[in-house]
Amino acid sequence: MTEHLPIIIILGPLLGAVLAAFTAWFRPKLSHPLVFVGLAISFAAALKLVFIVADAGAQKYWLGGWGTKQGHGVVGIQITVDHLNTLLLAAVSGIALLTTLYTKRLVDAELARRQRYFYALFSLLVTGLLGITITGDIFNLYVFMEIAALSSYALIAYGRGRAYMAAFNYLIMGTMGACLYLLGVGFVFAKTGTLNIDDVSAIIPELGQSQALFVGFVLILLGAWAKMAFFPFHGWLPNSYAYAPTASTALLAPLATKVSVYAMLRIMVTVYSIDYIIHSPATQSLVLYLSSIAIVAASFFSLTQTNLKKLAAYFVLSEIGYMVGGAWLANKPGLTGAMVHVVADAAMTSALFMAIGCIVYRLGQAQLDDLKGVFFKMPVTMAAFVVTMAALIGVPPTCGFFSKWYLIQGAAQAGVWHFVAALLLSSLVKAIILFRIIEIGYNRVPHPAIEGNPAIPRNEAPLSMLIPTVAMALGLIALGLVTSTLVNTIISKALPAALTP
Amino acid sequence: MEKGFRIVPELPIWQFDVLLLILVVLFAVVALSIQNLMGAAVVFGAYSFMMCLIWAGMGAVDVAFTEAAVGAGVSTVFVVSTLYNTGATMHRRAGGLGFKLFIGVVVTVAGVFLLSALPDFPEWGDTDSPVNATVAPYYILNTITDSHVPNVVTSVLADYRGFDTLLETTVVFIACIAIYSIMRVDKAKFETDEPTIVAAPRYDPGDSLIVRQTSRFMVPFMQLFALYVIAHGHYSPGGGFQGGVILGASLILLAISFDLKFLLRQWSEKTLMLLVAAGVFLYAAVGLACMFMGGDYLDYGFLDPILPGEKDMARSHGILLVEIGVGITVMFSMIAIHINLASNGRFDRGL
Repeated sequence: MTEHLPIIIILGPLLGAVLAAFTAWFRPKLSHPLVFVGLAISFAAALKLVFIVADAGAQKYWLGGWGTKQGHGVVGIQITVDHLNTLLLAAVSGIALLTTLYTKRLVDAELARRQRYFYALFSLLVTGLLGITITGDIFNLYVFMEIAALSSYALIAYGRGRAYMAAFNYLIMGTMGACLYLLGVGFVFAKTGTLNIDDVSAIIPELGQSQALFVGFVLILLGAWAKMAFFPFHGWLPNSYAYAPTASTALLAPLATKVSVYAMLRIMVTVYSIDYIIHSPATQSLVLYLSSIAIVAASFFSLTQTNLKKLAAYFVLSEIGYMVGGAWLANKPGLTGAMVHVVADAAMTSALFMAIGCIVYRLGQAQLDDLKGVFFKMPVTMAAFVVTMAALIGVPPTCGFFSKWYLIQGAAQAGVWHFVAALLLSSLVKAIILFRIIEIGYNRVPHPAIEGNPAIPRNEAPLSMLIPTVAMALGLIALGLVTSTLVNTIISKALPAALTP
Repeated sequence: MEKGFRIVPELPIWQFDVLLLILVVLFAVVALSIQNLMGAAVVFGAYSFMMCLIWAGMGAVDVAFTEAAVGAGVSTVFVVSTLYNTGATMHRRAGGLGFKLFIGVVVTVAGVFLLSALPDFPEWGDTDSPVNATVAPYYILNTITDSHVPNVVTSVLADYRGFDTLLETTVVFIACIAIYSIMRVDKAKFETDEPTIVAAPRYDPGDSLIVRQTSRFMVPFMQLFALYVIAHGHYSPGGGFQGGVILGASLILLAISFDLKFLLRQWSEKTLMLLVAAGVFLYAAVGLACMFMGGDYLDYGFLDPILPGEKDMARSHGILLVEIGVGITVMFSMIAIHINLASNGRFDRGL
């Protein structure tokens, strides 16, 4: 049975979604548990694979039994679980599982009678994201990208009103990204004759200097950047995440962009070798500047926001700058930082949007001015929120500290001081925003402990939302404590051997 | 090569291809610049037909078939049924000179960058090019022994890379339920939102005897052809996607020539949406069956105890099963998407 684990990761949410689409017409209440069970199976398989990969190395699975044929390479589609993606697979399926629990009440409240296909689309989005992460085939990656993209357009458009326009902008940008990616894959295929990632990476060094391969590389990267909302392709993201239903954002924000970053890492590290970047210093320094600009610009915009959801969306943008920059430092600590941060940031963003969702569920909106007294009303939620913000700022022992530490170390080693400055500035801005929220939530109302002031009634979000939120926030600390173990046993083995230490 | 078989490394009739290329560019420019959107939709359909001829000229007959059925056929219908509700006049918002210059520079730089790779590509039809020397020869040499399917495109799509096709079918399924989720509105809500009395159109295009009788006559032939395309995809161009689109188009033709109600009387909303999911389920379930019989996911060869014939015939029959799944999903997705667009999500009346 263990040999089938890689495909079970995909089949769980895929079949869950299809069955949920059936039951939506007979017993609508069954859709949610079906999707939950599918994701639970997927998470169990992904978790088991983390241990298998740590022990025994990469696991490969050939769909339809079409493996390597003598003299032709792999003729079918291969899915691979190796040191680079196993942690992200577990993170994506785990976060999706918690989010499924979490969104039940939110969906009932926000979408009421319109939720017929919500969970089917939800589960299909997770299928797409897991597929992008697990696949070992560059065209198969494109197909999964389409699955994830189409379902996320629908999930955003569930928000109605301004969400339609936001989803449309995302659709245009996402389609352009997918087109560029596919065109790039075409260029790579024309030069290598295969789509299998292992085979392509074996053939590319033999071809030497090739303009077509370079154009393909640039097109694939531009496609991935449009998908992950990297500067200057970021325009679609803040509105999409702010106007989408909170339940959709809780799934999209932590996972969608991170998986695109993973796709970029996979292309950079495995398909093309990292030498490709080291040998073109002009492109490298251009991308590093773009990353710094992305971080700084997103930080400044987050300072001007008055809506909590939009503010968090700008956090997502600045974190993307961290990861792209870290990857393009192309040295050991930088790449380690980027790889750790993909997982850590997925968890942090998930916890952040879960806490915001709890606030929205009780207060009805998320303007900063509405937060007066929120620390007395929802102490547990706000405790989780503060822990999450601490992780985003990079306070030890949370996971945010370790990934940022690797990134800064990498930047210092490469001598890219503007990236160090951008990272520190971003932490500073997040700290300012945290204190601003504490100031509004704690101090702008009379303290109930003082004699004569009315007590503010406690009004926490329902337990089905609160428990995942607290679990995620505690998970950030737990993830921080095991970071060094993970780096030593798994991530360090995903780094290309050619790198200087 | 021996026995008078020679590979010609240039386009078969290059004059013809040059003419088609000119027409493609011309149609693209016209489709973009035309002010009436209905006109643009029709020109765009013509553009797709030109592309279809180019694919056919390059020997990619399956691609040409899909382009004709999907690109020129049903997507034009979707555009038209959307325009039915939005109106066909557009208000162009022209950008300033600076914007135009910026776009011009971006497009030129991107074009030059793409063209810079051209000298690096292998010659057209070169037998030694990487594409013709890595996995493709395996498919051509082994498709008969592996799965008894002479049409290599079908065996690559549904067997060697069957997982991609499962996921593409899922994409069609997602497109359908996404459009349904976005557009579908409650009838009750609609009745309070809009005035119920609508002025009768001066000319009712649905009331044409000739159109009705012609389409009534044509639909059975279309459906028979579509079934042939699905079932005969192993031997000739075609398969689940093309056949499903033609089947869907035959019912859409009925809906347009008679009335949307005519179609909805036979196919309820619930039936349509359940069948959309049923096709994907069939495909995924065939894969699961292979797993329970001891093989890898989608390894149809392991189905030979329950399917007639040896292992290679089991593969062939497995391909037929999944193609039927694809056909079901594609057919009903096309119909459901059309009804959503034409009735503005109300599922009662429309184009």
